[in-house]
Amino acid sequence: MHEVSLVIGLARQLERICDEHGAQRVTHFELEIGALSNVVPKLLEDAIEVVSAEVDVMRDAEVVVHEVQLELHCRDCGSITHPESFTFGCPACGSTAVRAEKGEELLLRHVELEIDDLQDEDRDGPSMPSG
Amino acid sequence: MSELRQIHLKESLLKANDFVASTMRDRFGSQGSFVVNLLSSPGSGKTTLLEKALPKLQERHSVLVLEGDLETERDAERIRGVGVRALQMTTGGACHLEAHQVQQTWERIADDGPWDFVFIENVGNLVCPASYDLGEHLRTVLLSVPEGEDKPPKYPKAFHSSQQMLITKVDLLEHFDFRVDEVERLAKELRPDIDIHHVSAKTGDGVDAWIESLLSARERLFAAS
Repeated sequence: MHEVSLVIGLARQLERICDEHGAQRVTHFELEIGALSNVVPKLLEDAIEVVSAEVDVMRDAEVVVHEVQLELHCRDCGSITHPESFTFGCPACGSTAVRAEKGEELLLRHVELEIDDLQDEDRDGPSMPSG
Repeated sequence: MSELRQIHLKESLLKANDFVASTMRDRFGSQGSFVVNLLSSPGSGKTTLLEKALPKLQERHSVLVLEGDLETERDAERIRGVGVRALQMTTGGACHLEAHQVQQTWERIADDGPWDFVFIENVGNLVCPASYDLGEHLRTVLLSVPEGEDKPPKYPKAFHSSQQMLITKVDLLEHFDFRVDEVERLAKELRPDIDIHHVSAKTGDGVDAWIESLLSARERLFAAS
């Protein structure tokens, strides 16, 4: 339900990254979505499709969503486990001193930018797209 | 000619929200305000519990409520009805509050303080609000007896991210097939150290104990800083 809000935020991030690198557009980007991130990957992809049509720098960009499963590290016995359900206990020793090392991600991890190689004679260049 | 450039990064999609939230948490703390973010489904009794608890808390402390709703001032009006200052934040249909909304509202009210306690009543929804840090010091999730036992595994993030859980409307326990032990077990699977209280805004059971837990949480926070 908040996927559209997230993607609008993502669009601002991509615009900022383009600005920083003097890029005209994003051709490809990758996200990491943890099982416990509260985001439904399919809904996120749908929201990206809708939002990117309205945002110059991300229009037609390819997107890859990596789903990340929960990974618990036990502070007592050192086990690393990947429980199917969200149970914050160590399946090996029963300790509740576990930390979610993975599974809460909601990350932009890779962006491919297209940067026009402007020659000196083209100083005015194309104007920067705005969102 | 154009070139393709690869940028590797690990940037949270919630970076902007989290930055504002963290700034606000520092501001709240420096102004002596202990901030509680209340999460629950619609109808779990957040407003009713505040109506019952806050007049007592206000006998010795200054209290402010920030009400988050899709539309209308109804909840803020109910809180004002028991003599507690309340501001409404309408999200215009959005399913959750974000930190910048809290920041904008705080700009309007901070000078009227200091506020010892600020309660943010989030939009009734156990999904989206769980992802947004509002700069609170304590996140409290409410689960009412009529909702049933299985809310924690259905909404894991809400329970995993909360330090405190209130089982509300416990006066209705005799009418529902609701095993308190089972709910507590399910919540602790998601958050082993979650602080659980049983309350009834109708009979007043557990309300004082909840207020005590807030007073000591505030004391711990400001003793530590």
